[in-house]
Formats: sequence, structure tokens, C-alpha cells
Amino acid sequence: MKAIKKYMLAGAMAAGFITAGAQEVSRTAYFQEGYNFRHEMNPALAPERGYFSFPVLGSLSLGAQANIGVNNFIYKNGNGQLTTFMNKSVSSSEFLGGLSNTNKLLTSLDLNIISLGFKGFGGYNYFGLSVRNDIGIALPKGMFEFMKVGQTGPDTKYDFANLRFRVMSYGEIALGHQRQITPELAAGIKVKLLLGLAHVDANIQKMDIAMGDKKWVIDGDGEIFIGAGNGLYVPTNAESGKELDKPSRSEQIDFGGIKYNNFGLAGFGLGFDLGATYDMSRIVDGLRLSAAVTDLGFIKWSGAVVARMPGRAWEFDGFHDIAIDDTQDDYDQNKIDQQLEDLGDKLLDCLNFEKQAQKEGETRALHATLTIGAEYDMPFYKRLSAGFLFTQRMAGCFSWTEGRFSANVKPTGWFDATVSYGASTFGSSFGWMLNFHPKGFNFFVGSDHQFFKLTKSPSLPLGHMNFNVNLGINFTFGKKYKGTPIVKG
Amino acid sequence: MTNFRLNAIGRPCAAGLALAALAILPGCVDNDYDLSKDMDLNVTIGTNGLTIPGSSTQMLTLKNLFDLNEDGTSSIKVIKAEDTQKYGLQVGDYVLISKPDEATESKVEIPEVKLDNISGSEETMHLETITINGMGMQWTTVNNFKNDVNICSYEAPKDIKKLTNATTDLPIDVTLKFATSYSGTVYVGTGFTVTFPSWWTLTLDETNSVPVVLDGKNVLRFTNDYDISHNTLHIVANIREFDFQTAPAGQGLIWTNGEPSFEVREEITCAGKIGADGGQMEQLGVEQVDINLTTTVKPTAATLLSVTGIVDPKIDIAESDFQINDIPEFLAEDGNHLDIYNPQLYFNVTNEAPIDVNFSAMLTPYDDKGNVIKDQNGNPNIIKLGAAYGGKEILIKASGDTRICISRRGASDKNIDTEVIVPNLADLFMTVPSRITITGIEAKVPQTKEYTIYPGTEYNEEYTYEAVIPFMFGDNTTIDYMTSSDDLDTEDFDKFNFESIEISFNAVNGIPLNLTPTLEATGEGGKPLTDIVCKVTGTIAAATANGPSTSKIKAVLTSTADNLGQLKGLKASFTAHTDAQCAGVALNETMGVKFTEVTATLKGNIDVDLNE
Repeated sequence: MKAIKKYMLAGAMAAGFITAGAQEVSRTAYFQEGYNFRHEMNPALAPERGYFSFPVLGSLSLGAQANIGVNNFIYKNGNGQLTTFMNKSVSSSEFLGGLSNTNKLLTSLDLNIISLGFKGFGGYNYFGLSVRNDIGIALPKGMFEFMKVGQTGPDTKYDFANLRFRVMSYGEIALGHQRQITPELAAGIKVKLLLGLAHVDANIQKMDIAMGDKKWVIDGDGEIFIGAGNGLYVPTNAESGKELDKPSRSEQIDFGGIKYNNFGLAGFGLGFDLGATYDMSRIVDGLRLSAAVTDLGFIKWSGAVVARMPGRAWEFDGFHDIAIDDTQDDYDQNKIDQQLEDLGDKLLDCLNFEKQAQKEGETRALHATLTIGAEYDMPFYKRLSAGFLFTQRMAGCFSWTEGRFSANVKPTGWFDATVSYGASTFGSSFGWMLNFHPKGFNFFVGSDHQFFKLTKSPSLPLGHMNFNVNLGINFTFGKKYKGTPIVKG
Repeated sequence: MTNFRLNAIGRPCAAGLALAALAILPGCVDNDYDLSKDMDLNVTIGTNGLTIPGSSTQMLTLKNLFDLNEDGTSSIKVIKAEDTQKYGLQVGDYVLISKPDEATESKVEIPEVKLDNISGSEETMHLETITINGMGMQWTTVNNFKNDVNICSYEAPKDIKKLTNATTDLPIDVTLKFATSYSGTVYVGTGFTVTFPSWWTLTLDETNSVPVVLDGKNVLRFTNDYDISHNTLHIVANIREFDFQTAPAGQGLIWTNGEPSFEVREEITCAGKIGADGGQMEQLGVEQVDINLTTTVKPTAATLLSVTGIVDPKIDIAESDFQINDIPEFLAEDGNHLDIYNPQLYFNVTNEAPIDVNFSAMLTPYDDKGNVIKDQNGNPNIIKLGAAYGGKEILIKASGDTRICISRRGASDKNIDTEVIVPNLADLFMTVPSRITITGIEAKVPQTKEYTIYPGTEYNEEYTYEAVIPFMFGDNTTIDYMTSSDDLDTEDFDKFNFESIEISFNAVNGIPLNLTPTLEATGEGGKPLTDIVCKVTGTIAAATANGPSTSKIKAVLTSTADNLGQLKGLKASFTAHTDAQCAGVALNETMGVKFTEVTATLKGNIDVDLNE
């Protein structure tokens, strides 16, 4: 266990240094038999041979998904210079027209430390040790509209609801088994022991801003959940020993005093991947269907800290009794500088998070993914197939849906190539994958979201921030696995 | 065949896919999007129509504005309950009170009048022969037997211009002697008179047993026959009074070539009968008695106790001044024109002398640099008081305290003796001076009235002045008040710019002054900026006797500059002026101005330059 923790720590650190590190496995390669990591999407899709991954580099990915991109925020100002969306040369209609109601940016870090697959026990078996790290930011359009447009009249309203930031990081020790049930049906299952590393979920459920001539109101409500084990110290102002001029602030989180005293697991959980494939050749020659649900499970986070916003509205109906001259009564309290400061303090008091009673533990579900695939071999060329993969990620406001068409060709037994086109919540993207998998060795490189236009420096996709590069080095062994059905059809 | 065809398709397809992938892999680089280069970080924050909800200020009272010293050293005072009647004001009203540190003292000396030339005369008269025939007393008549008396002083003080009366202590000896060869007794007969001038008043001090009485005020009359052969006839009378009004011409104060002298030259007339007692003569025969009567009338001393008449003693009153301290700076600005509604100057004079004094003086205001304050035409704002300068007479009463009020419209303190209205007295305070001098003082006893003075006496006089200036304005007052803030934290102002800010507010004005505000953006050294301008519309109406007034004011601050980097401060000026509606209302420390429903609306957006 200690060794596992060490590897996971190393993996988490490596993940931290690698910018947005390894991502999910390639969906473009879903229909490639030579792709050793199909089982991550559907445990019923076993690799063709036994394999073990090059440590850490078995499946490496760099990328992110977002429905916003660089050119949503950086524009050319017509003078040969770039400028931000806040520049007056960028009209509000141009800027806001390019945004969605909820603007999301997701990065998933999936670092396979060790991955191993082998035939045995009447089927195919998997073992994997990995670290998974999901980071998501959701920014409501209203927030950008507020920044860009501001107050537009005597009664202006904005809604910042579902402003969200979420990080979930856990280690996964997976054991899986795939078996051919019938000649047509194969099923697979993975059981994953989950070791919680950190989970932060900040959610502004409500943020209504009304700016009128008579009154400004900010009515917000939100919650922050921090699960990082007992090693994380999240004090309140009172616990930090801060001197407060307002006792009401004693229970507010002292974000500056947060310390991570020692590494420790933040929770434990259990997850399951379930999948099945069905060869429809008896009905439609060359048609294969597959479906899977992955990451069904939960983690119970110990020592969780929950903080909530006070849930009271901040109202400003003007400054009152402003003291102009220092000979006036209570000048220090009533001068405009002080009133501005008090106003800001009250606003912070309404928006700041107050620590609730610390819980022993809180169970939170994983973000499950539903995958449904259909592949059809071209009758005129069996080595060419067309596939369609439907993916639904169930992650609350970070949910996304994708449908991806792919054309897969495997001209030889050791080389697969696929091109794909996907349309998802984050827009459309072009994917490709080249997979070299002679006996004993596997190298693949590809992308689910090929970028066509990059910024010059640094190289970032210009449009929606959907990009990734997948590559991996694995070593294969054994004969090709075809599966022996339990039930002969 | 099929396999060959398919392989022929498959391999090129795969190769093509691979090449396409490699070609596509690097993507197209948009060279315009070089994020490593500097970006234009000018941002515009959407604030068009951003309105800060209605705010309000505290009442800015005159107490705050004046900010007087608590130690009471300021010349401006606040009326307390015990002073309301004295000054005719309400509690909390402002009044400027100033007086010299010390009272001015002077002395009035009435010089002594030395009657050092006094003389009488001895006159002898040969009486008509008395025939003694043994038939008892035989009388002869004395008619108009005169003696000269001179009482003079050739160095009379010039302070006395005209005498109508003088009281004296002037003992005068009257001696009657007889020379005769008669051996019998000679008598002064009953009814013998020694008549002094009728304008003299005498007393009979010493009769020495002579049976003589004073008839009236100037006639000695024998009431019985008096033997002067065997007794001395020596009477001491005393001239107590000279009534120069009834005196013949040439008596009393004589002015010759501008030099006065005191001269009393009169004759004392004896009349009556002198007799000789012939007794019962045994011998027949008649004797003729010759008597020489010698009368001596001689003043033995002379002291002028008092004189009544028109006098003009020298009265020296020292010049004085009083300071006006700790005045709020804005009141003392050069451009101000204060039309003080009813300034009052009180003179309290303690005058021990038994003479009225006609007081005249000049009041001159000085600024803090010691220059005489001038009016708009460049003429010194000197106020002349008193008859000597063509004004109303200011009379200080004799032998007592006099409280005089010199005012523009009448005294608040009714406990005064004399009120003098000087309609242009407010000119003295057109610009609040730091000092007012009282000079050119002329103190004269009125020459149309007679006074009784006592030569050789010194009288003390004490003058105190008090300026009482209620802060109450007429309808022609203009005051400029300016406040500026030069210490704005403008460190990052060069990164900001705005189009226009519109500020509107209601001004609730409890001060009886119309206020016209202006607002100015200033740059380095307080210099007004031309590309950041503020236009203010509206005037804050004055409060009236009915109460505060509410006025709507709007100020629009507009920037045509590239940024606010030049802006270093703001200067707010108020020109206060009065009119007929608010004239005559006193300023009270509780009066003030309050701004309500203050809204600030940003027109356009705010530009912020975040470039380094």
C-alpha cells in the first residue's frame, strides 16, 4: 500500500508538472483493435495481445476541452496588435456572440503509471495503477456580459449562477476481466479501488446582480467543498488567531492560512466499469455494437470541509451622511473613504465563505461515462470500417456529449489508422490516430481534436480550446487474443 | 484479384491517411496571434449609465466651516443664552466682538487760576462837620464813599473761554477808622451800609462783635449804632461768588489779543450816617466835630473755587486699536464684499470731569499685511465719526458713564445712552480687517454750553471700545469660499479615462446666503485643466426667514484628455451672495448645507490602460 501511495504521489507530482498532463484515452482509436487502451472506455474491448505499458508513457495525452478559445478573448485590434475582449475595438455583440450560456474549460489528467493486460482465467485481465485528475471551470455568460457591458440602464440585471470550479484527484487501482460470453457477446468488468487525493468543488449556485438607479443588489449563494484529508488545514479567521474588527467574520475561511501539513489520503472509494460488445454479423455482416458505463462509483472524502456563503443579499442604496469636513461629528467613520471601505467589507462578508461544521466524511459520486459504439466493416474492404461512437459524460454542469464518426483502416496486422469527426458540446473536431503495433511493441500517436489554427507563440488552438495529442509506448506479448466464448453460439 | 484490388486500395489509403495526418498534425499558424508579443491592454469597462444610488451628506454646518478655536481667542463668538438680550440675537448666532486689550485712559486737567493780583484800597473821607450841641447824637451822612477792590489774574488759563460765574473763597477785610479831634464817641449809625457790587455774593465770616448783618448777598448793614471810637470796626466778609452775567462790562474774563485775563475791578461803597454823641452838654455852646472816615477794603486772599462758563480744556485721548483675530480665511479674502447688516461700535466712557465731551474719531481698517483696506474705487475705507468730521455729534456726558452706540441701523443693546446712526459704517467691514485703529481723536467740550469746572483739578477718563458685528448681511454681500483637494492619490490616474460623469444632488440650504458653486479640475500647481472640465448648473438658494431652501444642482464633468494623468486635484468654489429675501438674517452655528439624493451617473465607459 505504501508503495502504491508513493507511486501515486509521484504520479500526482508528475501530473502537476506536466501541463494538463495525460488526458483520457483516445476515442478516435476506439475501434482500433491494436489500441491497447480501449478497455478504459469499454472493459469488454480487450487488447489483441497481452501488454505492459512503458511506465508513465504508456498512454500520454496533452489537451483540454472547452467551448471557448483564445479567439474568444484575444482579438486583433486592426493596428497589427492583439488586444483583449475588454478593448473598445471589440464590440459587445462580437464578443458575447461567440460565447455560450455556460462556458466551460475541462482538463482531465489520466496518468497511467502502470498498465498491464494479459490473457488468463478464460478471458483477458487488466491491472492498472493510475492517477486521475479532473479540473473543470464553468463560467456563466452573464459574468462576461457584466464585465463587457456593465450597467445599461436604470434597471440592469445579471445572473452569474453556476459559476463553478471543480477539481477531483484520485488514484485508481483497477482490476478487470473480459470474457467472451458467447461468440457474439463479450462482457467486461473492472473493479477499481479509489484512493482519494483531493477534491475541491466550488459552486456559486446563485449570483443575481441588479444595478438600478436607486439600489444595487448582489444576492449570492454558494458552497465550497474541500476534501483533502486530515493533512489539509483549512482554518477560519478565528482559528488563525486573526484580530478582527468585526466578530461576524470569525467563521469566514482564512484562505491565506490554508496549509497542507502532510500528505495523506483524503478518502476511499470504489468504482466499476461495465461493458459489453455484441457482434451483429449474424444479422448484419460486419456490424458490431458495443456499450459501456465507466466510472460508476463513489469516493468518501474524509475530513471534508464545507463552507457556505451566508446567503444574504448585499444591498447598496447610496452612501449616507457622508462627512465632508474633519470637524463634523464622527468624521473618521463617515468620511467617503471609510464608507467605501465599509461597503467593500460588507460585500466581501456576503460573498465570503463561512465554514460549516466539519464533517467526518462525505461521499461523492464519480463522473460516470456512457459509451455506445457501432462499427461496420466495409463489405468491399473488410480492413476498412466505419464507426460511430456516442459518449455521454455525466458530470453535472461539466457534462458533455459527443458523437464521433470514424473511418478505420488496418491495411496490415501491425498498423492501424483512423480519421474521425466528432461533434460535441464543445464544438466539432477532427481526429486521427496512427497505431503501430507489431508483435512486442506498440506505439501510437494521434489526436481526438486536431487543431488547425494555432497562435504563433505559444502554440495554442485559436478557436475552441479543444485539442489533444495522444501518444503511447507499450510492449506487447503473446498471441493475438480473440476470446473463447463461454457460450457457444 | 479482389484482394489485390483491395490491398491496392487499402495500402494507399493507409499511406494517404498517414501523410494527411502528418501534414495536418502541425496545423496552420496564425502569425497575427503572437501571444508572446506585447498586447494592447487598454480595456473599456462598461459603465454607460452606471449610476451610484442616491447618497447624502451630513449637514455641513457653519460651526464646521468656521471651526473656531475652543479657547475663545477668536474674535468671532457664539451667542450664549445669557447674552441674547444684550446683543439682540439668538443662541448660536455668530457675532464678531472685539475690543482693545486695555481701556484707554486720559486725564482732563483744569489748570489752576491763580488770583495773584488782588488789592484793595484805603480811602479817607472828610465827613461833613457834625455840630455837637449837647442834644445827643448828631449825625452826618456818608454818601457813596468808595473803595476800589481789584481781584485779577493776568495769566488766566486759556481753557476758560467765557465766564458766567465763579465761586471763590475770597476773604475781604472791611475796616472803618475814624480820625477826629472829638473826644467824644463817634458812632457808625444804624443802617450804615457797605455795599459790594450787586453781582457779588458774600458771606459774613467774622463780625468781631460789630452789629452788622448781611443784607441780601452783597450789602453789609449795621443794625445798631456802633461806637467806633473805642472799638475796632473790622469785619471779615468773604466773596463767595461772582455773577458775571450781571456784572458790568469789563469784568471777569477779558481776552486781549488772544490772551485771557481775569479781572474784577470794582468799588465798594460805604453809605450811611456817622454820628457823634454830643451827650448832655453842660456847657452851652456848640462844638463842631470834624471826622475823617477811613475805610479800608482789602481782599486778603483769593482762591477761585469754580468757574462756570464755556470751557475748552485740553482732553487728550490716546489712539487705540482693536484686533480681529482668528477669522475664517474665506471671510478675509480680498475679493469679498461684506455688506454687514448692522455693525455696531460701542463706546463706554467713564468721565469724571464735569464737562461733556464731543467725541470725534476716524476708524481705519487694516489688513493682515498692515495695509489700509480700500474700497472698490481704491479709496481707503475710513469711517469718520463725530461732529468734527461732519457727522452726528457724539456726546460723552459729564460726570458719569456714557454708553454710546454707533451703528448702521440702531443698537441691539438698548441699554445705551446715546445712539448714533452712521449709514456707511458697514464700509469698515467690507473686507474683514485684521485690525481697526481709532485715530484722529478729537475730544472737545461743547462751546455752546456752560460748565462749572474746578480749576486745579485733574479728572480721569476711561474709554473702552467694543465692536459688535452680528453676522447678519445686507443685500449686497458677496463672499467667495473655496476649498480644494490637492492630495488626491493620482498615482495611476494616467491609466484611466472617462467620457463624462454627471452628478446631481439636492442642496438643502439653511444658510441665508445664495451659493453659486463651481467645480474645477486642477493639474500641477493647482493650474486649471482645459481638457477636464466641469460645468455646474444651478444655484443653491438662500434660506429665508421662513426656513431652509432646497435647490437642484447638476454638475457634469467631461474629459477630452487622453487620460487623467494631468489631474492632481479638485477645486470647489462657492460664491455666496445675498439678496433682499435673505438680508438681515443672522448666521447661526446650527445653520448649514446638506446634500441629498446625490447621484453620480457615468456617461460612456471608463477606459483603463493596463499596459505597463
